[in-house]
Amino acid sequence: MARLHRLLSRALASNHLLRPSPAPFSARLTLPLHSQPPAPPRPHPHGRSPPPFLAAASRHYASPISRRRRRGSLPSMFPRRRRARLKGPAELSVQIGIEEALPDDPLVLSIAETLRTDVGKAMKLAFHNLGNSEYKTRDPCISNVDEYDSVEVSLLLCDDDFIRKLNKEWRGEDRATDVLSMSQHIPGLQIPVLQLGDLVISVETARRQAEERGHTLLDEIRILMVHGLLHLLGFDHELSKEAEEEMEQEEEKILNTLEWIGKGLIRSAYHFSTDMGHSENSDEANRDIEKRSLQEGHQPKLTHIICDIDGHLRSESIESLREAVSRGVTVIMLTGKTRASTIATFKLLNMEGRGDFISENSAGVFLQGSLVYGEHGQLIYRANLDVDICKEACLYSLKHKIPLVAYCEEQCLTLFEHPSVNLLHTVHHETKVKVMPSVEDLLEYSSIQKLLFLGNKNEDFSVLTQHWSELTEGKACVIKEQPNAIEIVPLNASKGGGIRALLDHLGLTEDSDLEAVGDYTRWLSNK
Amino acid sequence: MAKAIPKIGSRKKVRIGLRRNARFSLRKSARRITKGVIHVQASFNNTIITVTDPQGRVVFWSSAGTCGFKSSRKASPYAGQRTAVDAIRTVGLQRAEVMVKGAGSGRDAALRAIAKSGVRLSCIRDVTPMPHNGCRPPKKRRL
Repeated sequence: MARLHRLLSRALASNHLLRPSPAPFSARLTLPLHSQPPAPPRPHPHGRSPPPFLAAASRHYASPISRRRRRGSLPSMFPRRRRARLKGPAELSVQIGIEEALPDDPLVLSIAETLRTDVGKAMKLAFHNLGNSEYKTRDPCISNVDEYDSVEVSLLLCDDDFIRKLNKEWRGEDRATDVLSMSQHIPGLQIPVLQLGDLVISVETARRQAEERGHTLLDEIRILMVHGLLHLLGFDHELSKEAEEEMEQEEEKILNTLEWIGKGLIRSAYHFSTDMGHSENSDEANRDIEKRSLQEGHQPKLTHIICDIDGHLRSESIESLREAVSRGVTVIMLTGKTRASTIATFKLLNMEGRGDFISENSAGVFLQGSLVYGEHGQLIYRANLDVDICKEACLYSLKHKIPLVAYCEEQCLTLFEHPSVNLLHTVHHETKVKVMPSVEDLLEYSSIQKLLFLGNKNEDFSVLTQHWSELTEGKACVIKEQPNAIEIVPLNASKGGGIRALLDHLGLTEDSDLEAVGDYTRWLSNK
Repeated sequence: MAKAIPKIGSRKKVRIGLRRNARFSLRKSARRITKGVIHVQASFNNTIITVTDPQGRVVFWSSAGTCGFKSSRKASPYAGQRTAVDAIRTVGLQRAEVMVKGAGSGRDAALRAIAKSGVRLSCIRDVTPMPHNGCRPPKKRRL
């Protein structure tokens, strides 16, 4: 036994074995979101601990990164059965490009970023649907994607001029179009990479179609992307009526499952063409009326617009706001976000600061009515959360590893890093969330107006909502506007209350020249 | 040439939950053939060159990615040229048929590289299918 112990220690102490193995690529590592606490050390089988160098060596080899190296390196006197290594999941390489001639636009850049993940989601769903559905008219040359190591698809956002040249060269049609799908797949070629092909989307045409169909540019590009993707997977709506119905059905299925706004491209196109029959004749008359009213210097009826940007802001609303601001109407923002975040959002739309529209000097109701800014942007009302509730929430967050964000005027504070928390900054344009070292440090910020519990996309916070509603009864208000997030705000704070305070401050009555975007009556009744 | 998109914290490669069933032979140990078919797949973001024997069995494949080009450089004509040279040199072709597919910038560069490599080309065929368009039904006639 002693000899065996000596041999093992000598083998493990050798340079060759103790050289740390290189860590694999981060893309290959799949780490749990909430890491488990380390398991307690096992007692040594012989009742005494091994020598320190041996303990160190065994610790090194127990790390998950170097597990494969360990098996190959152990001395041959310890034969070990090799387990079959799990084959890793196939990789989808999504390449998004922006054509050089396309003017720099922050909105297009933001859409390109969003598409990186959106294309992946749509592809995954399309592959899943192909496996579960029987389509008679689809070209089945791409049937089993499981046999490929990686699947490549590229998407290029361009202008009308670029897509027109492509359309002329490859289709013989000298006009701009919305989307072109150029297949790259060669059936029967046994290589580990499935190059599906290219999607080319004209942003200019997409923008026009989005306005015609009443949704945002991102929604329209998503619809075009799904349409093009299905073409690459063998669908073709031009073959027959049945083929068109099958493709339309698949488009709708993907858009509905991913909860993306808008009808599929086929249905949208047909609906639009039938609507045009009724509306085209009256278009010119409408334009004449508009021109005449502008020439006569028609005074705007409205002086103020209250705009709830939480879930109500669509492309048509944004255009209306642009128009209103250009005519000198005062826009009052109403939101659950911070003022800094709202300014950042409208900066992307190129509307920040124009005519005192959403700047540091504009009036608005923020953080669900916890902060109300009046004329020239001065604070006229603030509602803070009870310190006990904040402490309780912080401790709960740490105990259950549920990310919590505390809003303190323009600052966002949290207790630990988490992907959901990072999304607040990268996607929702909140100020960078500051990680506090302890609960005490966080509570030093005495004026906390809102707490936000965040979960993953598929998490449901119904139980958590009920728990906190009972816990904060009579002290705070719990709002659940999304399934994976709950907000805790002061009892005396609500959007309706915030509007009332602001209207009083501005000397406006409800029946004065005032218009709301969103459900205005609900806010006012929600005192 | 497409612009590079500034990264805002998201990954370009999106992992999808699919399992690999087939294992492909190592690319290094390509058998050498004198006559074959060169398939060029030129997309806007990558160029893949596949060499098959006359029966259609893959002998060797190479892409701009496997040649060491990353992200936006994979789409460059130079990447297409290097990929083609890499494939032909490894296999040692003397006579070949070329099938070109796609409208990417690596397409012409790859063809030029193949032509300059000394391989006798029996024919070059463009097998790019007609791209699919969006859905635009004919408008109603206005009276």
